Amino acid sequence: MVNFTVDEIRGLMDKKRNIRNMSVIAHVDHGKSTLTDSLVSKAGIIAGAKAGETRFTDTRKDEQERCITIKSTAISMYFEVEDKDLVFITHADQREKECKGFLINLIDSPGHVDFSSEVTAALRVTDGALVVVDCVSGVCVQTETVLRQAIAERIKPILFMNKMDRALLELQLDAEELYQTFQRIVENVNVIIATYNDDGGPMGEVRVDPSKGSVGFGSGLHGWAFTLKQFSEMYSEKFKIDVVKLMNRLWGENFFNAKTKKWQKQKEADNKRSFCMYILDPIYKVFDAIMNYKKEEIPVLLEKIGVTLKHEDKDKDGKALLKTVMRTWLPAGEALLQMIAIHLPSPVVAQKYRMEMLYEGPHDDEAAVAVKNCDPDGPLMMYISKMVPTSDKGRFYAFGRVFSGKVATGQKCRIMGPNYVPGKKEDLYEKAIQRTILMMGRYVEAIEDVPSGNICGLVGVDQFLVKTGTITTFKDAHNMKVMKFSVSPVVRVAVEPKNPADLPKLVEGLKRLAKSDPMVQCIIEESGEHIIAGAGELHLEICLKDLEEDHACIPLKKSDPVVSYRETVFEESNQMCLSKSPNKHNRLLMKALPMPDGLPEDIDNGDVSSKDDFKVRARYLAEKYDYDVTEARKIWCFGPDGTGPNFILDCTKSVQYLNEIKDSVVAGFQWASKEGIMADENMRGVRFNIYDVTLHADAIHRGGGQIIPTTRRCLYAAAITAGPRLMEPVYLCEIQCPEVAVGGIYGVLNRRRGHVFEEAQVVGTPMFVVKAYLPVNESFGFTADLRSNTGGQAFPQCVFDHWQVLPGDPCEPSSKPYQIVQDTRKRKGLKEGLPDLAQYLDKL
Amino acid sequence: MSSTTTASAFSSSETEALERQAEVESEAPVNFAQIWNETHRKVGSGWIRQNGYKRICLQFPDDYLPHSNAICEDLKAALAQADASLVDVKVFILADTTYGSCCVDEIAAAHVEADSVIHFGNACRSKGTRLPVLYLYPVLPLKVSALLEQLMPLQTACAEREVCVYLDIGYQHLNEQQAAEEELGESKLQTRLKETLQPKELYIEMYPPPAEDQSAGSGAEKNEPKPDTERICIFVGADNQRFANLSLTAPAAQWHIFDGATNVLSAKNPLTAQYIRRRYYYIEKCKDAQTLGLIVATLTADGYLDIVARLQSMAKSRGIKTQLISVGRINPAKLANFLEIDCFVLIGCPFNNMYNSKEYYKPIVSVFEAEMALNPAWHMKYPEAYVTDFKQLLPEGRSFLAYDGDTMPAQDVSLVSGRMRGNAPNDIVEAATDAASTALATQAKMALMTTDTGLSFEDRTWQGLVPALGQTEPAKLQQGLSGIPIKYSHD
Repeated sequence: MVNFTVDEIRGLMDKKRNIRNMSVIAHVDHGKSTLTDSLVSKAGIIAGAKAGETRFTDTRKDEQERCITIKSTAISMYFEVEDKDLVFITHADQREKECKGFLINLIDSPGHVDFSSEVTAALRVTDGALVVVDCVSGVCVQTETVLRQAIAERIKPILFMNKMDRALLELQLDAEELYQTFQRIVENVNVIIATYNDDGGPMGEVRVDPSKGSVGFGSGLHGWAFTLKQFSEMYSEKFKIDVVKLMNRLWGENFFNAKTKKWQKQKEADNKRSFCMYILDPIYKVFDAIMNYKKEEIPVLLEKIGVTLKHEDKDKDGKALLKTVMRTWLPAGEALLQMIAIHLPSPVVAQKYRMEMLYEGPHDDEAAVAVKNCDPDGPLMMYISKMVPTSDKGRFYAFGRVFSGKVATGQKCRIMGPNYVPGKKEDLYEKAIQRTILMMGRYVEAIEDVPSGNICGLVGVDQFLVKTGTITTFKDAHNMKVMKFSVSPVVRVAVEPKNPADLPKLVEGLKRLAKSDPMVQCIIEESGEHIIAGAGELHLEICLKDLEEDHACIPLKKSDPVVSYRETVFEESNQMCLSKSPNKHNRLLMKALPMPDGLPEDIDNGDVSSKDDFKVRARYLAEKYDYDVTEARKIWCFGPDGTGPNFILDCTKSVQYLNEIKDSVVAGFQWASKEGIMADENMRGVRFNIYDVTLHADAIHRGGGQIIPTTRRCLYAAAITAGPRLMEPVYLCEIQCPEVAVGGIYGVLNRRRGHVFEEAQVVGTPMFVVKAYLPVNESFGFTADLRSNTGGQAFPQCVFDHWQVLPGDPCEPSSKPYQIVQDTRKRKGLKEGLPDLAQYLDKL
Repeated sequence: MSSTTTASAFSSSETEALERQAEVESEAPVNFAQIWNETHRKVGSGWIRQNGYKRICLQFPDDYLPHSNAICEDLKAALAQADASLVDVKVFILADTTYGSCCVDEIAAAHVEADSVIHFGNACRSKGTRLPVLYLYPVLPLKVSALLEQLMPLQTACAEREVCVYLDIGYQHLNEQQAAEEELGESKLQTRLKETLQPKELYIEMYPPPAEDQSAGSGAEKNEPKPDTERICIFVGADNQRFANLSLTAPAAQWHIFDGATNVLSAKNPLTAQYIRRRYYYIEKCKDAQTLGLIVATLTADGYLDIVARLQSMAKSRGIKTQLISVGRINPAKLANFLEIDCFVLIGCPFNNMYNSKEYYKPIVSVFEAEMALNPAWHMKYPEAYVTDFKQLLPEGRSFLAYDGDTMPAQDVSLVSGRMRGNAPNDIVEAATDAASTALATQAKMALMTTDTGLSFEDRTWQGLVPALGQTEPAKLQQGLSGIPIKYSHD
């Protein structure tokens, strides 16, 4: 660090209104990390000349090799806003009086969809987002996904149009075309924002607007950028117009007639769009002069734009010269940091409206109020969003944001995991914080304490949390809400050590891996398989590599990727299923039936959940799915795990002792819905009705031992008689390619049971976007296959979308589901063949 | 009491009991000559006479029962024949053993005040503590020539390696014969096997091994050389529970089974690695458990109380509650009654402690698995072989690892639930009870029994009837049920 010391930063941390916490989000390859570098170069951590070449935030070796960001990385930066610019910060809570220095905590996040859990974790601890869009490719699927997530988390976006150099040099777009492209991207982004944000909502209007300066343009690679503010400042003196007024004139349908010196609102023959005339034209001229080696024009131009070349740059020409000139003329760091300081909210502003989204407890308790006010003197509330590996193997820094109070080295805190329930002891630890640290890309710095509104890391907390958690000093604090990921871990591989005796190392490694990634799931299955589940093939590849090289450090055998299936039914049970308890004195009568379309998704999304008031839930089910209200009120429970997309419903009429066996029935239901009858997979979308129950008069003869196994048998019988089906996970797949490659895409998709549901040209480009549904099971090797069939021109992004019934009866030996069931059973070490109904069904 | 054909208040109808399906282990049926021949007769009666036993129990597994009466009569006759004074010797037949027919049922024997037991069939040879036992194994014929012929192809593999031949209970007579043959100068089985296989070293062992009796003790055990993991093992016998048990506990590169009934040699994969991997799931489950149920499924095996105490102390120091359960032979219905217990540990004899059935609501682990879960010394340690005999886990045992609670990592991620689990009693709890701790200790000393089971019922929705004292209307007396639940008089 050249420019500031830890003590200085600590001083800045107290000026909470001068803090900006922001993440950089975008589609893959739109240039986030490169752009971030130009910011970092401005903040003085690495030399300016290296910006655009080092990818400062890609801290891992493989990230630098592959040129892809895998983990999100945080850096703190310091930026001083000049007095003339301070007037743009109007909100009282957006800056401290008499303070020009701003502390910017930036998190660079990965763009590849497989790592979007990292984005979610980054968004949670920030208040603003710099959305980077490649102006050549436009708004892509991942742009939309991350933007949607940002809005849902109440993160204010600003926009940056990256790769302008490509638009000029490669596509050779003329000024008007380029304006149209920009205009379209801004519109697209605003459409997405408008879809997910209510302008009247607590965040207010969050649309991006070039004329307000919340949209930047430039090239991260070449290190230059501008907003309309920069150009407006250049011209305002000349035109004698106020900067703000001029900014409005420089965007949109504003045309200037050079002859009449008049502004007009329509395009006419002799006027020109102001944006093209005053902003793009000078840039085009510089590009043209330098790239076409017009030696004599260059010095004239340079003088006009006020750039004086340093001595060592004088000999440069071509691209190198262009870079130098543009970087000196329109330094990216300056423009972007201004944009960030002016348009992104301070923690004080943001936490006011974010508190209700963040806190699970009552919105008027001590913790909630402190978070709302970003009060450094209130009780500590900190959310840990992810774990960052340390150089000490197996140990992690807990990375998160202090929302209120102060976190300090040695402070005794309550560490609450996601399963903590106030008043209970589960998932709760009371420990001292070993050390508080500042995380800066590759480096960490110890710091005494960190006040509210800042991002930091903690040492010594990792043992008590798996991935995320809340840290507080307030005894009655509730948890901060857990993050909701946009992707699910649907692709799985089984690993085993090459040397069986390494098994304990593998287990230990899996535990570390589980910590180090916000999304990955490491599970031991009953079959003895050690499963790693991730969002996609790339994600798994990285996880496996980490496991083998960093966490377990042993050679591994890996299975082919497999998907997990779900078991469902497609009709109502064809008979009333009766099962008797082992002592024959208790009888249960049940049926299974499928849930209406959309209900399992509602349960997944939490629109229908076990936590709802039963009356509200019943009304919702009655209105949306035509359920009988009285029946819908008697949902006993959801399962598996008490929350899953199946439920058991009491349709009995006045059965004696029924409430006594409820716990046992629920236990049996959780068991059966977790381990379905066909392939021991979770059930999905099945509703079980209990119609009648006969119970023994003596409590001891209707205990759990009699009821739990019987319930399970009865549920299995009901499922078998209701037309069992398998469900498979399906990806939503977006493929970008030139027109010539579209045919190849169709061929590949057809072979893999995929189907295209949308195909459109990206306006203003020769690129096509094909959207398709592709079964996850068929997606292994899809990327490679697609590339080879399209000459490497098509690039897919796959994200889990929904579950779909696999056509065919798994009880029919010739069908595909049958094969899958048998394979799964074999893998799990179960008896092969079909379940025998007679084992579960009893006669009266 | 006169016998009735219908059910009385205290017994169900016998026809039902007779028709009830018994779970007979799928061993090949034996005939009378195989389990009771001249040798058995001689050995049995000789043993009784020598020791002067007066009340003898004959314990049979279920599939030997048809012959039990004949054997009993024959033994009595043999005794009477040998010595007239032995006419008053009482012989009892024991069957339907509580925990498994491999164990000596000392409790049942104690009911008739027996002074000795003759045990037939499958035996785990767990060391009993109370009664002298004579084990009589069936004698199954074995075509040695067929065995040798079948083993020929293994010669190349066996060269320069250790080979171990295990004889199942039915074939142990071969080993006894050896001694006799040697005296006669005929070629021994061992020599013939050696010729066939030409191994570096050849061992013939019996399985289960004869009990290390008083004289042998555990000292001999320690001197035993560590088995070579590259060796080849041949099991003479059927693919049964004993083989499974043996192949799990004895490390070997290759396993072959020679089935004496069919004269076929088949190769088997050494199960251990895969089996242990599979059991790791249950070990994780056991680590996750808040409450452990210790099921005592033996009342005879030496050291079961020590292992119970050991498990209890290990669990306690991890903040896991334990419940001691004895329910006789276990089944899903019995165990599902313990809704609050997360995992069961089955403390039984080596042949009786592996449960893989999916019918159980909560997993059942063996003592060894519980040890691996609870003892931090096993953390990051891979067992060389599976341990089915819990005695090996006690001090002096081969697989004993000292328990040191301090070496435990305090927290850990569960790979089953993906949650955090504390390995130490949560200190927050301790802080709360600190003040009252002295008061509690003195109380506990005086109390006869604490009613606090340590199980939390707070999650149950049904917590019993609400007394609502004084709020309910007095009701009229009604005729209640009479009889016992199995058959009420009014149904």
